[in-house]
Amino acid sequence: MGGLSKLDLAVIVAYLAGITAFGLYVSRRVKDTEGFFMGNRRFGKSLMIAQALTTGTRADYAIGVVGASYEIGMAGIWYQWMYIFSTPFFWLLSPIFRRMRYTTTADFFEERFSKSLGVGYSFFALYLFMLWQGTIIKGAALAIAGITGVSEAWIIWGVTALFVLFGVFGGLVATVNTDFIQGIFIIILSFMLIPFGLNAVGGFSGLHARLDSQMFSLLAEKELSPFRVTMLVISGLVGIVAQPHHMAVAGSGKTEMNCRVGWCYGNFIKRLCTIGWALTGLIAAVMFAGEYDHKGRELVFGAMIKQLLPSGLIGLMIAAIIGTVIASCAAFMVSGSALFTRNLYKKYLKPTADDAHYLLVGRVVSAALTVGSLLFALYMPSVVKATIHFVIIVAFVGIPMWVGIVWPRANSKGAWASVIGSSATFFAAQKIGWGEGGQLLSALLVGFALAIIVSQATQPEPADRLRRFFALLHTPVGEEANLEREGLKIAGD
Amino acid sequence: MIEEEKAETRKNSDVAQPIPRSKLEEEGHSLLIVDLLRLARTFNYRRYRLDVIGFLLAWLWVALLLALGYWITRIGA
Repeated sequence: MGGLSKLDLAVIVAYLAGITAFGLYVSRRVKDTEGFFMGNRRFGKSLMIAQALTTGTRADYAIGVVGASYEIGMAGIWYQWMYIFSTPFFWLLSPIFRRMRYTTTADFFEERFSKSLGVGYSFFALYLFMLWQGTIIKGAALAIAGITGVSEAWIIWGVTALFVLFGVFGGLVATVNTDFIQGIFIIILSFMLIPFGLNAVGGFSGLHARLDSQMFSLLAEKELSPFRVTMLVISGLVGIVAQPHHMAVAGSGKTEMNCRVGWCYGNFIKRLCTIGWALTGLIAAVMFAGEYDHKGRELVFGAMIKQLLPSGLIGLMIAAIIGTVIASCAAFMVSGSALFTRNLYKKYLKPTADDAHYLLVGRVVSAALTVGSLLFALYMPSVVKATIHFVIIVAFVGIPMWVGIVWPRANSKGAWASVIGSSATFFAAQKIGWGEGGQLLSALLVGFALAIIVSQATQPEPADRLRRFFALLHTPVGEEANLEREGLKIAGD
Repeated sequence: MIEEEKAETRKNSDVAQPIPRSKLEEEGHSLLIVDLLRLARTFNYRRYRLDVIGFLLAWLWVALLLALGYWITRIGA
């Protein structure tokens, strides 16, 4: 099939069968919504690391960095390293997510600000989940189609069916447990091509002999100027808190320390993988010099796999790509259904049903979200455009989240003004032709300013709401008895 | 009316005080970001020990990764 050897096909089938069986086996433990959505908050450090690594590491990221480094050199690494300076903040943020004790990020907006913000965020997040899943599936399908010659549409359908199997039946328990295995595959994916490639180009000295010295610089004026990188780093940090799946990624650990170590060091492993992707791009620049233009550069990853890897390892690489898609999409699907079930269905449509009913609804919604993401995957014009769109808009929602955590005086009106104002400023700056760095800087400044000014000029949130929210943030995990003594209810109880 | 609003604002600004009092927070589990606006007045290492140590260690990892990225570009030069 598609030029794959029998050995390659056997590796792919064995991998997918094994990982599916394992996912279904561990999903037997899922009996209620808390288990389905948050894994009962029982994850240890290693599973938390695996979850952070695999939900944040995808084949399309590798494909993007390899393609960029192929064209502009080592500086292409910044398409993923834009988050490297945010990573130390994950150590500080993860216990905040854990202490909130919320299931979804919409819970935060509702409990801290207002119902309207919670509902608004829920719809925003559902859109993001579908868009993101669609982008992931499309990216992987392009890569696999490039290697195998199989129709892109068939690959999209096949990969979607697999992650539905995980997400719908297993919830977060199945996803995180299989993530642990797939984390290993991601590291393999990142480094597998390097020894074969270095061998083909005459080692590191061969690279230096055949590439311009500028290709080895971590800074590049072309495409990724220092100002643009700086703004991407800042907006990455602002938006990271509002990414809808991060409530589960950062908050499902058994202890606060598990959450800190998992989110922070899972992402450090990802940054390490990124070095491997950039180096792979440099090798490609020698092997396929001048063969791909700017538009076609992301095809170079598939071309390297096809040319460098022996039979069997090509199958392993395809299995690894599918594995990252399954891990990411299943986690997003579970988080998306949690948002709908808890923040829309349970609160506004059917507040009194039993837990089994909500679990069923969660599973049905998971499937519906998947249909949406499938349509995105089948019909989106460009993976790159969709990815950039995602990174930018999520930063605008991150502003009120930061302000709401740090400043008790921040209120719902300030939060709405911030989101609307920053989005409008961004699109206005885009319309008048400012560069992306300028667009982001102006939007973030306006967003923070509006959050402060409008909050200061209007009534604060009710004292009871604020007391409840900040009491949670000041009550470490393990001291819940303090909350009960004060008569404070934990969200979701 | 304005005085009432000011009083309400003051009341809300005080909400960030530990409610209820946490033993773990006093022993190093306090959170720098949550207390950011009060840190100039209230910071002491003992309260924020976990945040401070982990945050600095994480920056060390950032420096190491940057150095590794640079070092790889110099191999064979």
